[in-house]
Parts: sequence; C-alpha cells; structure tokens
Amino acid sequence: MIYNTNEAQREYFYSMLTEEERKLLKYIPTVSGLLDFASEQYSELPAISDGKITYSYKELAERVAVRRGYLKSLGLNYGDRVAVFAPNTTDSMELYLAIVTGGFVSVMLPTQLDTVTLSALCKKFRISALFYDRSFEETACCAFEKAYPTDYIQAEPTPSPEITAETVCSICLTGGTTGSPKGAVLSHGAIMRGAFNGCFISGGVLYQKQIAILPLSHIFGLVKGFLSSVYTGGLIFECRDVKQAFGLIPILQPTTLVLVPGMAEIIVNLTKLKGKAYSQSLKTMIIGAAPVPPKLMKAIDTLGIKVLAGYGLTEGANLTAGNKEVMKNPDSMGMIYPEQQYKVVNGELRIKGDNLMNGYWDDDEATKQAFDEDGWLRTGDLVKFDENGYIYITGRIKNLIILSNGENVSPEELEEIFYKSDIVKDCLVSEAELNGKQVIGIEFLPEASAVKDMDETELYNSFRHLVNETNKNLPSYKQIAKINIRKEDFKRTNSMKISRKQD
Amino acid sequence: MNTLEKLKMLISEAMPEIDISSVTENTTLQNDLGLDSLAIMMISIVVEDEFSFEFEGNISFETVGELCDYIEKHNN
Repeated sequence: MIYNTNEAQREYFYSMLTEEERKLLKYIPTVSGLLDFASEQYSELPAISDGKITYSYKELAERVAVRRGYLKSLGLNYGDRVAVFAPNTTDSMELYLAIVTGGFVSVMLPTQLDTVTLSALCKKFRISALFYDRSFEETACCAFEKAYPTDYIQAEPTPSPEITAETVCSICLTGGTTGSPKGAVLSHGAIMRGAFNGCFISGGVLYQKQIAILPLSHIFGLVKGFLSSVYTGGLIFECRDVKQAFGLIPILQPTTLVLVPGMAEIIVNLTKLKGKAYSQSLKTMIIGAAPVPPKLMKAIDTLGIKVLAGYGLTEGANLTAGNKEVMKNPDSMGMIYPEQQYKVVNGELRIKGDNLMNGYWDDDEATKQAFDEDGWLRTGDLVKFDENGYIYITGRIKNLIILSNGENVSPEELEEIFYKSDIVKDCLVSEAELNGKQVIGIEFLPEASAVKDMDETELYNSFRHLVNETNKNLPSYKQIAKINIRKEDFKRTNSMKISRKQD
Repeated sequence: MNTLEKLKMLISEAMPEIDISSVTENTTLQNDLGLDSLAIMMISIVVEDEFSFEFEGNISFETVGELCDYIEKHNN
C-alpha cells in the first residue's frame, strides 16, 4: 500500500504556524532563492554573528556575493566540488552559501579528520578547492594542495548563475557499513525541502536566536540548524567549540537550539548544577540524530522548554517525520512531513519525494542498493503506524550503532581491525551498556591455538591489552568500552556468518 | 579534601547515575565508567568551574588519576 501524506498530516505541521508565518513561509526550491528571499524579507535583521561582529541579512548576501567572486577567481567551474574543513564559524557559513549559490557543490567535512583521511576524502570527491579554518591549517595544507583559508574575503561581488531545484547542491557524508563514509548527493530542491520542513515549529518560528552547535558537516546541523534559521529570519551565532558553546548560553541567550540528545542532557545537568541561566532563554529544543530517552524529554519539559523530536536521514535531506507532541506521545516519531509518499515493505519504511538524494557519489552499487526497483528509498528502518498515522520506529535493518551523541559507528569497520590479531578467531561489535550508559562492546572468540597456554587472567589481560592498544588509534566515540570473552562459538547463520542477533 | 575526592564529588554531581564508590586513580574514564565524549565534556565543564581554569585542547585523559594530575598542575 502506497500512502501520500494526507490533509491531516499536512495540518499536523501547518497548524504549528501562525497565519503570518503561513503566508510568509513558502517552499523555495533553491538556496539562491532562499538567500534572495531572506535578504529582501529580513534585510536589516541580524543574520549571523561571531559574538563580536554581527551581519544583517543584507550584509550577509553582500558578503556571500564577494565570496562567490573569490571562488570564481580561483578558476572553479560550475559543478566543481568545494570542501570546507572548519568549525561552524561565520566564515564557514558564508562560504557554504557562496559555494552552493555559485553553482558549485559543497562538501562540508568534520574537523576531527586526520591528514590521511582528509586527503583520501578530497581524492574521493575529486575536490577542486579546500577551504580551511586557520586553526586547522597544518592538517589541511598537508592533506591537499589547493587549500585556502576561510577568512580571505576580497574579490568583486558576483551574482549567482542560473540554479534550479535539480542543480546538485551538496554532498553530505553519511556513515556506511563498508567503513568508508559515503557521500549522499543532494540537489538544491532536496536540501531546501529539508530546510522548509525545519520551519514547522510552534510558538513562533520567526526571528529566533541560536548557537550553531551541531556541525554543518552533519545534515541536521546544516539543514535544520543553519538553513532553517536563514529561512525564518533567525540569528545564528558561530560555534568554534561545543564545550565553549554551553558556557555561552547565559551570555548569548539563545531561544532555540538544534541538538543531539547527549547535548540536551548537558544543558539539563548544567541547569541543575549551575542555575537557570543555562536554559531560561530557551523556548525550544529540536533534538534529533538519535532517539531521545523519555527521561530526558521529561527533564527538559520540567524546565519549561518545548521539545521537538524528529526522524530523518541524510539520504532524505534530514527530516522525514517530526513529533510536535513528545510529552503526549513520547514513543512516536510523530507524522511524516508533507509532500512525501511512503510505503512499508516487510516492515521497512520506504519513501519518495523531492527531498531524496540523487544517489551516492561515485558508488553505483551502493546507490542501487539504496533504492528499490521502483525508485523508493529504502530507509533501513523498521516501522509501524498507529490508526492516527503516527509513526513508530521499531528497529533498524542496518547494523549501524547510533550512539546517544549522534555518532554512527559501523561494527564491521571495528571488527576488521581486531581480526588482524593472532588471538582473535572471531569477534562481534555491538551496542552495550555500562553503568547505565550506552557504549560499544565487543565479544571475542579466542583462537584456541594462540591462547592454549594462558590461564583465565592472562587470557583476559591479553584481550584487554589488544582493545586498549586499538582504542588508542580510534576517535573517542568509536572506542570499545566493554569486553566479553566467549567460551562457546557464536550463533551463526546458514552461511556460517556470525548472527548479529546473539540473544 | 584531596583532588581525587573533590573530583569524585564533581563526577557524582554531574553524572548522578555513575557509582563513584569504587573509583580510584586507576579507574579509566571510558572503559570503567563508560563515559562517552559528551559525558566527559560535561565533567570537564564542572571541573573548569570548580577549579577556575580551562582545559587546553582536546580532553584525552585515560584515567581518573591523569585528570587529577592535570587539575593539580593547573588549579588556580
């Protein structure tokens, strides 16, 4: 059965807007159109700020035009990929707009990358220019020859070329089970559908203040955090450092924040420990990228802050479903956003709409697997709907471990590392719990011949040593926290592969 | 109160669900206490506030003892 989002679902979202907001906010199919709209509609209102210097929407559009001129002066051609390796500064936000309104394709990269990975990604996406924040100069310049600092802004203002909804806008990194991140190729139309969906916020969506805590390399930070703010005349403060951003809440007084659950938890804890100043300016928290624990929702609600939870995926330009009544219906992801078609096949949610990616960059095989034979995007998520059209996620087909801080961890990628050790016959990485916290765990089946002379303590110490040494080379969110050594073989599938469901 | 005891108190305030009774200098932040990057960030915020200093660069302490040493060196 194929469903189109119906009138009730449409009204579920549109009813969040006031009459004025409904009149003002219409779907704009390109980011260039968005920038024109914002500079005209919100002209003198503050748009972006580093905390010292604030630029209005008119100034933002002017600075973006100059940056477009600079990009052109570098000899870049329409459709060339331009990467940004920087925290969420006003420079990187302006650059994003300049790249995509200049007819180039943005690739926003996370700043945790080391030189080798950065270099590999530049090669993979055939990057023509890499812009770096000066604090990452060494990594960037070692990784890629055509590297330029983000703070250089001197050129002739240049208008946007012709851009349509179909023009490719951004390549967004997405976790993959193969270990190497894939790039979802998203058009202007798709990105803007995500940004438009991000405007459905009740209690006044216009002219909000926020700190850009989530990185622009994350689809949720880019679309819901940044572009929806431009859509609604918001002021967005730069964020060089997440830890610092929490300390700035009492000073900058944001009215809304776009967060992953772990960050929302920090704000709740800081308010308990250090006082109301850490949350009293906040009217709304938009939380996504990982499930929001009901306990956290309640704690936020107690602070008088409205929580909006959403469900989405990079391949669908972020927002697919949103829940405006999390306290009433905490287990649901709400309703499917308008202008999407959806169906459920063998329990899996599949979607169609103008928010979908064109495919994965340079990866026909992965693209073929991402869509079914009729062009529906396989979300990989198992869902059910209740009689009122509310969606519930019941499980994940994909094996990706989604941590509470929003990071995705591919178990296969970690297992591959341990398989290189002589003492490991087999291993299985999965989500585990330690002291009530969600962590990454590993189960080992020892290689009998390699461990035959070891007693229990030596055996444990050998695996502990192996994990500790491996952890040293892994980013903190991928580190293994819990170890179990098996005496019996894993449960296996018919093809003798280890079953990921061991219970 | 020595630094370890003070730190244990701060961890317990910041993360009430963590059992700090058996925490020693050798306890590891990630493996033993199960702290993820955001939980470590939360603890670092309360530590900075309590001891009036700011951590430089990434916080990459393996054990509670290493964190205590850093605090003692930078405590104003």
